[in-house]
Amino acid sequence: MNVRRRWLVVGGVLLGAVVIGGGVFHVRQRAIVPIVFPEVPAFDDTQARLRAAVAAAMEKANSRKGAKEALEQIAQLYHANGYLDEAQAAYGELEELDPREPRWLHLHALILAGYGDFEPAMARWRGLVELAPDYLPAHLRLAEAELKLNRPDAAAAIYETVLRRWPNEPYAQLGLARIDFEAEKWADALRRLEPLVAQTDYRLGYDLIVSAYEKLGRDAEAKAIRGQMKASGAFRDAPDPWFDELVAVCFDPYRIAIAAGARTNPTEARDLLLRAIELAPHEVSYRLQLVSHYTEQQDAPAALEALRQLTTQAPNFADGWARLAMLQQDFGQQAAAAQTVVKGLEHCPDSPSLRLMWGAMLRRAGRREEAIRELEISIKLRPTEAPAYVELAHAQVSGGDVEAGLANLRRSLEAEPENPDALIFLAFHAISVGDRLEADGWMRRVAQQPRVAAEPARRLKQAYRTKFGRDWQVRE
Amino acid sequence: MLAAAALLSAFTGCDQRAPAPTRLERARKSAVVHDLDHMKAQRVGREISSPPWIAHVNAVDLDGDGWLDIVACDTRESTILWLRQVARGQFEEMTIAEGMLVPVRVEPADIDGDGDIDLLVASMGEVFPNNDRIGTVSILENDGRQNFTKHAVLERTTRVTDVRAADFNGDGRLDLAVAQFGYDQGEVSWLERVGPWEFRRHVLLDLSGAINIGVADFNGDGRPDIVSNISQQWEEVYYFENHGRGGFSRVRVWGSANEDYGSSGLTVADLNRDGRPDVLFTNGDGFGPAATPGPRPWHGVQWLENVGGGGFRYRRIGNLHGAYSPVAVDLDQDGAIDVVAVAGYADWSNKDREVISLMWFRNDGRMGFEPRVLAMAPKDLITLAAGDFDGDGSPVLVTGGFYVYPPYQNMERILLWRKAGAR
Repeated sequence: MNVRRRWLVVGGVLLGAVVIGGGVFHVRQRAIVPIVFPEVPAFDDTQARLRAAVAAAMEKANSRKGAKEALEQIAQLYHANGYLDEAQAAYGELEELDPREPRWLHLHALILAGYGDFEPAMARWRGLVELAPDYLPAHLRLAEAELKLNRPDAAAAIYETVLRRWPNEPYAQLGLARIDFEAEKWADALRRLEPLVAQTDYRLGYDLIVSAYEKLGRDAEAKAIRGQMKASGAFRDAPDPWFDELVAVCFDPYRIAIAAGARTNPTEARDLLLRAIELAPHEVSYRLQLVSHYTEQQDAPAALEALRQLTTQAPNFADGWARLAMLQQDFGQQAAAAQTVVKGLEHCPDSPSLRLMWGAMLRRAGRREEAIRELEISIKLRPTEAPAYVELAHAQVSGGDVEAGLANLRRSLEAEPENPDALIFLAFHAISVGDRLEADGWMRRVAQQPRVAAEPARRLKQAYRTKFGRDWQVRE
Repeated sequence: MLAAAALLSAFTGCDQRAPAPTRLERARKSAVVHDLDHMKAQRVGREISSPPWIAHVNAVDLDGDGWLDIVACDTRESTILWLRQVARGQFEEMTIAEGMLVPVRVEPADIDGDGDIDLLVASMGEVFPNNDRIGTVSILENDGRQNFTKHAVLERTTRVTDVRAADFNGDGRLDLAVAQFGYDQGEVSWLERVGPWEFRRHVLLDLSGAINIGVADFNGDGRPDIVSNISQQWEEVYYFENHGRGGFSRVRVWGSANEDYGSSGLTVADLNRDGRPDVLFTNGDGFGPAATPGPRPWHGVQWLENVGGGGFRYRRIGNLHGAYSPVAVDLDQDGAIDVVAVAGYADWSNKDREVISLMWFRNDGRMGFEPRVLAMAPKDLITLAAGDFDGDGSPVLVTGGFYVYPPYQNMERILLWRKAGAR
């Protein structure tokens, strides 16, 4: 062994010693250096439960064995209750302590990506999909991040991988549809969106598909979807078990109610709302959200019971009475509904909704003058919504005061420019007085309003034919 | 030896390197300063008769008399208001346009080039969720004596939330850029001027949720470019680079993975005074998916630093629940541009929670922002403007209140905010 070679061997040995020594030192350092906990925020009096939970976790922080567990709890408590800076600090520490635990990477990445800080988020998700390849949300988030960073090819590759592993995964299909949509490949986007809206009952893709149809000149299909509702907004994020589980340690009823509203699983949503109510029993909005939940689930008995509780507990909350009466009406319980409205008005005389409901009931009962009085009060209380104007117009026209009725219909269209009921009413009126030019104008607007139901549209056309002796046809 | 090192690494998990540090420059955690005596409010205009719906206020000297006036959208009454400053601090309110179909934005521009200020109006048709084509873009033509004639230049379209004027195609005539929120479908468009009051629409982006339009020469090529913030489930900011003759390219310059981020307002300002216009935006929309609006921990104010060449860098300024309507203004006149924002719908009925309605993010001169609370009442302010209303060079703020959720308390319609003791 020549001198040069000997020195190389010695150097190698020394280098190895340094590497091993450094590694051992690093491990020992991690074992003996105390875990760094984020500074505990100043909680106010409304956060007593959170304060207690944080304090309980921090009690373990000083014990050598319990410190890491305490940090895990703390991180999730902060994240769940909206202390995002503290949560990030805790997740960062956990990533150091436990780099093979994918959960912390994911939860940390979610916070970062929420602020659009995608590169560090993606570094975490890339690590995560190696550690936990079965965790679907990480793949979807990674693809979404690529898309948001204007890298559609990379996003598409991930979405395709997801679909090979989880066939028909709806969020991956939506992502691919959006990539086609952004590239203005309307037909390709449509090929993905049509099965997607069918698969998800218009919960996903309802927005893009209408535009795609319209770009391709398929207006009838677009109109059919537009006509389904006044506004959808049905989109919800993909279920994400690790994130969704955080709500278990949330003590803020409003945040729990938001989580409930974001859930796609109805049982989970209901349970969260019940928890929000338990935490804030006097807060009516969570009870009202529960009623909406039961109504969406078509669980009428539960909705009725929740409304009875709500009106008993908060009799000055007008929406409770109004929703109860509406539900009773839906069940054909007209007398009970009327009683509910009257009782509601005793407690809430300034409720425009209850005045409107009572006015409509009076009109149907033939008590026209009383109805008009109620409807005028409703409009005075809330002049910005169309239904009371339309109802008042009905009452006035049926009593012979046609001009006043027409004036209110015009007002209704100021409040809501294409209100379907007002358009139908005005079209019928123009036909009935034989003003064909006017009728054509209203018929055109009726035809352009996707939310006009088929039956009134058919009756309008029939009335037009009878009056003018010819079919009404769209003329551009 | 190396094998031993590798084994050790594997045993300790050291091969799993901790992810790269984040580049997110969150607001420095300086404590929020309560500076509630810094500014004093002056009520201007009519008294409140019902919960006000002032969706937008703007500072403009409409009659050119040297005093800054206020123009505003009264969304409840579907009117455009002019609060004329007749003498320092004295305002006379008049309605200059009726039947505006739920106006939410009014912007000045001399559209017909006759030397007076016309007004561009964005109308939603209905404030609450509605996917019908009920939006309108109108121009209120000024006859030079502040009598206005309405020209509806885009009708029966997805709900319109913002409109700005610029000569986008370089033909010497002002065109328009339009944000159309819609609801499930919406667009960002530009309207090419083809006649005195006629425009041809070109869609730049087919997405719901467009809130604001910003127009500036972002890339320094002498042509006006467009930015727009998109809310709903998208939560993105787009940059539309103008290539001349009506040609635009489109790029997403920022996006959030949080579909509940709550984008709520955007404006353009050279915040760091480097000669390049930056993008300032808020996220504070707390509507949905709960039954009532409320705060989110990520609500706040941020800016996209224009780094040149069409590039932007995200920088967080600070947190503010229910943040709306960011404004760049050197409030303390120290030479550094500050940021002021209003806030709404951040409390619902949680009376124990401290709720801010006017917040100043004071620039320390190094683009660090210290949050200073200027007001905690009135509640639910969603629009803010700034200007030299007193003609003395000092900035005055103007706010509008929009009350759609009870409790109907602590309401105000239009307020001027001056530094305490300034007058």
